[in-house]
Amino acid sequence: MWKLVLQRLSILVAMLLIVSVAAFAVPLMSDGDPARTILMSRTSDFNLDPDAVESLRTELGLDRTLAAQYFGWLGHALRGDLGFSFATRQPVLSEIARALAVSLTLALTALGWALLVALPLGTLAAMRPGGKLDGATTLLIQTLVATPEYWFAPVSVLVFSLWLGVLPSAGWQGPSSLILPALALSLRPMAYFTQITRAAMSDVLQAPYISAARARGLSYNQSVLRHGLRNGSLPVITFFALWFAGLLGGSVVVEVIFAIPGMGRLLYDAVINNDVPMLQGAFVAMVGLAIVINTAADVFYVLINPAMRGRHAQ
Amino acid sequence: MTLPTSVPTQGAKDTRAPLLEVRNLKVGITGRNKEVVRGLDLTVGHGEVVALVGESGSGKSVTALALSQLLPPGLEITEGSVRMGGRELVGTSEKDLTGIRGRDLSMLFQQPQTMLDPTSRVHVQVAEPLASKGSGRATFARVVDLLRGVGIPDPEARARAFSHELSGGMAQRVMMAAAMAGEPRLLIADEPTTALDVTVQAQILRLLRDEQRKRDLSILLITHDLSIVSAFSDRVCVMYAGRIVEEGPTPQIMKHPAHPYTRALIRCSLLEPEANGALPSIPGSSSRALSILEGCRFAPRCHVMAAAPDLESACCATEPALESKGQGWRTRCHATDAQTHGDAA
Amino acid sequence: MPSDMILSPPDAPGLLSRAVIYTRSRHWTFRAGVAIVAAMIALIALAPWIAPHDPGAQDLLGRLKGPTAVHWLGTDHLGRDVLSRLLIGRQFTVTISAVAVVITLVIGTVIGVMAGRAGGLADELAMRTVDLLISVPDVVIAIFLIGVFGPGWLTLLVALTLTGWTPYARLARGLTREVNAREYIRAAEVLGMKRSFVMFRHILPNCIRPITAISFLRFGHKLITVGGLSYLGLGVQPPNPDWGLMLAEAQPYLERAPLLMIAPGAVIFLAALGVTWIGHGMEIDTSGTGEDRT
Ligand SMILES: Nc1ncnc2c1ncn2[C@@H]1O[C@H](COP(=O)(O)OP(=O)(O)OP(=O)(O)O)[C@@H](O)[C@H]1O
Ligand code: SF4
Ligand SMILES: [Mg+2]
Repeated sequence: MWKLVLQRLSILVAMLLIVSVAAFAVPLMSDGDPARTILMSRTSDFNLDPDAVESLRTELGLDRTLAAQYFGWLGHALRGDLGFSFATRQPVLSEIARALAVSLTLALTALGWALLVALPLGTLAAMRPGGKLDGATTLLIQTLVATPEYWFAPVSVLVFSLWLGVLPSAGWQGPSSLILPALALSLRPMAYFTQITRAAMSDVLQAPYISAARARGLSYNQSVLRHGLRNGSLPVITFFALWFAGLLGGSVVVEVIFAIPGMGRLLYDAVINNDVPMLQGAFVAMVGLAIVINTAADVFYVLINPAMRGRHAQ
Repeated sequence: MTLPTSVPTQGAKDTRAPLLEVRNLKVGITGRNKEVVRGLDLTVGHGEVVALVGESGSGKSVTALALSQLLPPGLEITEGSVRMGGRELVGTSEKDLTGIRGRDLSMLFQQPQTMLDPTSRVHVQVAEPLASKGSGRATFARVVDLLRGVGIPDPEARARAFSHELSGGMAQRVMMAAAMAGEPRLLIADEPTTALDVTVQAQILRLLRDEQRKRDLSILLITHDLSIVSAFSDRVCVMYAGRIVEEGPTPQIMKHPAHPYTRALIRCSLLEPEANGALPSIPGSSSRALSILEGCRFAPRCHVMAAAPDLESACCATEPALESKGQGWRTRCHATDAQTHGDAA
Repeated sequence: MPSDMILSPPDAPGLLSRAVIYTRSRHWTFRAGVAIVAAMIALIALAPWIAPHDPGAQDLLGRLKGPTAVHWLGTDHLGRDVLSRLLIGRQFTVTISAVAVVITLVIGTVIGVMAGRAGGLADELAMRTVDLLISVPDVVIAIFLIGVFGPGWLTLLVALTLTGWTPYARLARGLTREVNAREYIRAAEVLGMKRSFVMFRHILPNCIRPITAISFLRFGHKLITVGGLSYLGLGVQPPNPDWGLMLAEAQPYLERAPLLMIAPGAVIFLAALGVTWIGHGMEIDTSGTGEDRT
């Protein structure tokens, strides 16, 4: 068990280091000079004073070796100092923290809603394989998978905000502004959750321990509830974590469409504003978070699955 | 193998109506005109141990599941009746059946470890058949008693274990404790020891017999091990291709089997394993016996018919009926005793 | 194969008739997917001849018109014919997605087969990397790279490749280990055949069908991702017509000309649905469980 955790942790650290190197090094590969970029964004003037550029370069430590620069940057990053945004002059970290809270809310709402549909639907489909509901579910899954959220979102805005006028078309005020974006975000995870639930439950429903539970006097429904659902939910949990990690940053399109100040929007604005520190910070935060959540889910999966726990203990 | 010695119980002398009475039970494959159990008659008396033997694929497990109304999707009872203590089980609602399974009728299976939910603890599963659900602590104490009763060392710790932490023999003991939790009158045990080591087999069988004596339990024991049959059962039913071909008191049948199939089974069980390690088996295969539509299903493999050519017309034309030979001994064969015993055996 | 003899010309069972036979024997989703995709390919290929208008021709007086007899799907904010723009032009979204699928397929399969053959630490490391990369959204990597290097097809391809190879690697690795365990592979090795020969002779043919199935599913996924980047203005630059870009351009006129947004979205949806169905249909028939068959 501890061996497993240690192993996962070491891989996690290695991956995070790779991500940090990428976040640091990739901007250097482009031909822009950060000092010039910063000065230009501050002065909105293309005729820069060469002395000013040079002094800023020293100030930023850009005259040091690359390795020194990287470790300097990493040291600051580890202490929570990701620099200041070129665009807003705010500390990158606090901007990220604010955006993360928004994205978190959005992602959890979307995924919660997706699960709410997927778990019963997948289970019902599994109960009658090849039946009408099963066929309809398969069709629904593929339709959802193929629906671009940047198509669904405007259509839903058209219907619910512009025509019916019941929901706001954009912005981030109150729960009602959460509904349409969460809905748009939930389509694909809903499809995959349904698919995985169906597969897991159809395995579980045929499992010998369900018959054995019935032989002990439980009804079919009781057996499935007490002994089936937990076994069936194990793969769903893994999937949930994957999507959770993905949606935290993968909701760029939806956040842009609905003008939601989350992580995706932050990343997008950083690109539009050529805001390198923000870009680096947001990238590290999103990819790093994805990897951390994934590792946590992996360990958690082993924790709640006694058979796995046993295997890793040996 | 060290088996508990045979002590026939009072079962045969019991004058009450039998506990389990199966009449003309037929199990078919849904959507196909094929039967895997083809009109099975079977009775188990109070406190009686009945062995059901037959080769692999003869329909023993399907019968066990049909009796408890737990057939998997794809199989269904097409005809017949299963009465338990006078009560008809075929067609009984699922709701009523949940009151019967685990209480009146318990089951043991061949692969105990796969029969336990890997994600829930032993005590949860053992407690399920308990009639009165007391406080959590009282229930747990009862479970520990049950586990101790089936000879599980350190029952408190084992009660909190998961199935993967148990050996096969331990898991079967747990299944046994769960089966006994509801104080059943009938236990259907489908090859409960086949998957276990030889020494563990003997322990489990001894446990089974102790429980049987203690509770005056009726047992339908499914096996294809004839040494278990003779050591353990009062009566034996021999099954071939979905039907009983011979049934009667175990000592008599083991000594003087009347049906050629039973004779062949017993002869094989007495032979040593062959030089290459293969277990001796009856020549021919039973796999196509279910597709024979006329005459005796055993005819293609029957040495008695082969030795007596004048039987052939009868054997291949009509399936013999199950006829009584007295003393509850019945057999399904056209041959006379003389013909059957005339061969070299 | 008897159906071969019935359906194909007596002397030459050509590629096309083989394709027809293959298609007929598949799950209905496969046939429906093939029908959609074939129709779209035909329309796009014939676009220069069947497009009713010049996709670039502007008509500012007749802008944002709904469907008319002249402009079946209406006109956009510059008065250009929507149908023609949908049909014509460098289909950036489709091309980039297809190229990305091919690249990731090759890279992923090679990594997967090598990991499966090597086993041990290399295998463990490769699979852990796969596990972790799967949760990293490709959009984030794409936007980061675009932010640094600016939009462009190379940036996009690199971004899509960085995360896209993982499903192939996992599948190829699983199949490799499965095939590896079979006796004849070991026998071939004992007989002194070279490892790489054994690998290509036995492992790859086993991988082809399931990997093709995933490729179609991934293709649908990539279409939507690339379309989304286009939509954000991070893909192709105007004025080249592109489905995602057309959607973005339609955004301000949502209420005035809904069709302007609905039409390109529907086209992306149909394309994604078509390839998803193909992939799904193939997956059912290759998995062989038959459980999904309706
Ligand atoms: N779910 C099912 N659907 C269709 N046929 C089945 C099913 N389960 C079992 N059968 C068939 O029923 C017949 C009897 O099977 P059964 O499992 O009862 O044999 P058995 O006597 O218990 O054999 P064994 O000694 O191997 O356990 C076999 O021919 C088998 O193929
Ligand atoms: S009826 Fe005929 S074939 Fe069948 S067992 Fe008796 S002798 Fe053999
Ligand atoms: Mg069996």
